Amino acid sequence: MKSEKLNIFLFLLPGAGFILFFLASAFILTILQSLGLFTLIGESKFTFEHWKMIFEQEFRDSFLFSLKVGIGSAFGTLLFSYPIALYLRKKGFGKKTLGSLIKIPLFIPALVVAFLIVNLISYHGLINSLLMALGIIDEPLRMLNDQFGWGVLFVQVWKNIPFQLLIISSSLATIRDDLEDAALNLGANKLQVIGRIIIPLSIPGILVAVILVFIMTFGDFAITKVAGPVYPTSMSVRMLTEAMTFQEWNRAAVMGVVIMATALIFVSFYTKIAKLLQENSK
Amino acid sequence: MARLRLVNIHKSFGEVKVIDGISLSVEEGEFITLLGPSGCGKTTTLKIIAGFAQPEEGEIYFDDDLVNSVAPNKRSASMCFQSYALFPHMSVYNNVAFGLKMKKVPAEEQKDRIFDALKIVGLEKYPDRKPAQLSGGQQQRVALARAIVTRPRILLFDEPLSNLDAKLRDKVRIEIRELQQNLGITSIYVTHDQAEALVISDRIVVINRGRVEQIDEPYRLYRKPETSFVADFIGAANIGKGKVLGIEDSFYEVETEYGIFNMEKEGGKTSRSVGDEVFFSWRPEDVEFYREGLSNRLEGVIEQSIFMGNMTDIFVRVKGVRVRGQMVGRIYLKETEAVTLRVDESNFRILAGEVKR
Amino acid sequence: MNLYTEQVLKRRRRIIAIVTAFFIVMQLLWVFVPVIFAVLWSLVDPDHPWSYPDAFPKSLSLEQWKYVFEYTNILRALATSYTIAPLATLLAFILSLPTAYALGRKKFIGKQIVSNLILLPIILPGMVVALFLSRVFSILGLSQKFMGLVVGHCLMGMPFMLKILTTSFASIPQDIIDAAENLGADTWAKIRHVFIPMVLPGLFAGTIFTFITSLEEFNLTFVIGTPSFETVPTILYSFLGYHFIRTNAAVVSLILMVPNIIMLLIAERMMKTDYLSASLGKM
Repeated sequence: MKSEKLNIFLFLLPGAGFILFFLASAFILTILQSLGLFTLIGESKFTFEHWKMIFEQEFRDSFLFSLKVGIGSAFGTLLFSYPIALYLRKKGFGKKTLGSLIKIPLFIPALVVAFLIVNLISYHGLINSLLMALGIIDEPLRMLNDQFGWGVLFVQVWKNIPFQLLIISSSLATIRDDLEDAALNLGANKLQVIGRIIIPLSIPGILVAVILVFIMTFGDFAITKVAGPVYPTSMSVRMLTEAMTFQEWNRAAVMGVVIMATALIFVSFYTKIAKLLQENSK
Repeated sequence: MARLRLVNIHKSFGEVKVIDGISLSVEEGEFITLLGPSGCGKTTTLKIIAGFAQPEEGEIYFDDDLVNSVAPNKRSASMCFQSYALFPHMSVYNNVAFGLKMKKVPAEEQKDRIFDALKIVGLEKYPDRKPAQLSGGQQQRVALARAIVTRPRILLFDEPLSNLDAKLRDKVRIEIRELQQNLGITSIYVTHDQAEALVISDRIVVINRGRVEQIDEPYRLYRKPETSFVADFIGAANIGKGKVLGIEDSFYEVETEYGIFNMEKEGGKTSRSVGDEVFFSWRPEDVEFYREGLSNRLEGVIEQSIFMGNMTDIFVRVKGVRVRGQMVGRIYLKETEAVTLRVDESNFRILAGEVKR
Repeated sequence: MNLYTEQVLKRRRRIIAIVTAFFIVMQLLWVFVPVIFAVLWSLVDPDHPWSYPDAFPKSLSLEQWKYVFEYTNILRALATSYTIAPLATLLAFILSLPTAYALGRKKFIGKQIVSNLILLPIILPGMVVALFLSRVFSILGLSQKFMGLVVGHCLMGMPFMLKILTTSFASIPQDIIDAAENLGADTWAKIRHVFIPMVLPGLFAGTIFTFITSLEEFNLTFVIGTPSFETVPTILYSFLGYHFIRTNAAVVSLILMVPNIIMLLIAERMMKTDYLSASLGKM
């Protein structure tokens, strides 16, 4: 029995051990550096000094901006992905084609997506030209690098619809057809079937989809850098500026810990929900 | 409670004809079973009654109302699903309440009716449990309570016992039968299990390849099968073909591959004339030892004798044809031993259908 | 009373078909308009610049492509990208195989935790991981090193390799293994005749996903690789971020995007199971 345990440990070591080693050391280093320890350049001493930055106006602006973009993207994407998932649930004419078309953005790298969308929403881009040609607006709208972050939201939604669609579709697929038949049989109409059976049963899937997109957009660097406003910047952009431009690694570490912590809080939600999902599908 | 009438129903899925002209009429309060092998169209028939599937042709009547154009959620034909189809996110109480909520039954009345229904199935103690916390048998009862609480005109069962183990199955089917008799709801029950069908039904509809083979009471279906399919599907049967040699008052004289036999006339669908080729059947348990002076003699050699506990299965070669017999208890017959057996003329059944040359 | 006749159903089916067709057209616009504009921008003739309010470029040429290949580091970046990717994939495969076997076929305490752990590289915010990995790498002497990039890319792609291989291992019915053993197969024969054929499709999918992840990897490469190494994504970033040169960005975007899409389409064609959902949907 003991040798079996040892065996399993040895089997797990190369893959899981490799990941654990690098992530844990990066994680621990971030925490230590945020507390003034292990500073590679300059002196190291334990202090909460660097954590004071979380009361700075700029920090708060970045945090709120990332939070807003994160939540906005997660639910903005859901607005499209859930109805599409519902629509694609049943087989039908052309739906396979539609399903694979929708998936395409998933295959496009984030930076390329940023470029593609920036191209459309820039000051003299297609959308502005089109709106002006149609006489809807007189002057081009500022959608790119705007203060609010519409540009980032646009890019994130475009990129994440297929991702959420995959998660939600697989969650909808676990709902058996006979539940729908049973509800109809007991007198429910189509809307009641969706409202009382399908939506409640797919809530775990919805939450997973929302949380994962939130985490990805909350910590995003490249897309915000390209399509986001000059100020406020996202948490990751700010963190990199602190580290690379100002060489303020301790401050960067504080931001790193905040981003990680926010993500991990949501991941722990996610694991709980995943468990619920499993129990429900039994 | 209602009568149900199906008139000449046709249904295809793509190229495949699943139901090929089924007509059927069920009396008020009757318990009817649709029996057949898998893929015979029995479940599709049930779905057509419930409204989940639309026939290409034919009419469905509840009493005298044509319901073809009535949506499934307005039909009042409650279904018990094979998988139970309980809503996993709702408690037992809310599962049973669902149909009443959809029908906008007043809240006070709902509660009484739900507990009445739960009492009937013996689950009044577990209104707050989730389906996953119940055993298979209990889930099956919740499904039953959920179906009857809305007081449907017709109750539909789609192989409701197939997910239970054998002992529980025996118990629950008797309960379903009692419940149905007490409530007097017209019921349509689908199964592929012939033993289940024989126990539970007022009448059985045997379906094969989308057509009705025979509609009859369990006893008649077993003793008086009309087609070779029915004879073979329900119980075991020796089926053969022969030629009518002569016609007497009460029987035909038929020449078969293993001898000349008298076969009872009654019930044969079409009257036969001399020279006709016919199919016939008899049940293994109808063999008996030959006694002097009686007709219908089978002379053969034992090929195999298998003790089955309550009976002995014997396979006998008679003039080159292998036939099967069953005798109660332990019969001491050795292989290669010569035996003389007989089958009474009343136990022969002349089947419908012409022999194709 | 609701009408529910065959004609109504037919009409409803027709409406659904029309709605679907409409969606397909919308989706074509939604997906392909951005791509077509990128293609157009990459073909702008430098002598006749494309500017507002022209709906389309006045004339098209391959000048932008020539320019990018002649005057930027794209060729070297391509070489770097396409050397790192196979090496990182190979490393990920070697490291993943035993772990995926254990996760797929063995029972042990803490399995759920390990299954979650292996997904962290793609769930955790990429830039934070990248930035502080760079510190770990510099302690280990991997910073600004080719080997460092290979290890980093391997780390980022491994969740896909591990997850897909685990699913493949787990989906082999124990009966088949028992049957092979029962028929006299030794360990080697079991590996050859049961494991390899049944894991092969998953391995193929995992390889493609890891390979593509490496080609697309930006955060880590940007932090630990620049300025010593440039890959296609960091070049694209320099055109998008520092000084936005739309025509160059368009060319590099296409260089980055087209091979990925082709590979994934081939992968989807060749595989019956939807590994994309297997690896993403059921995380």
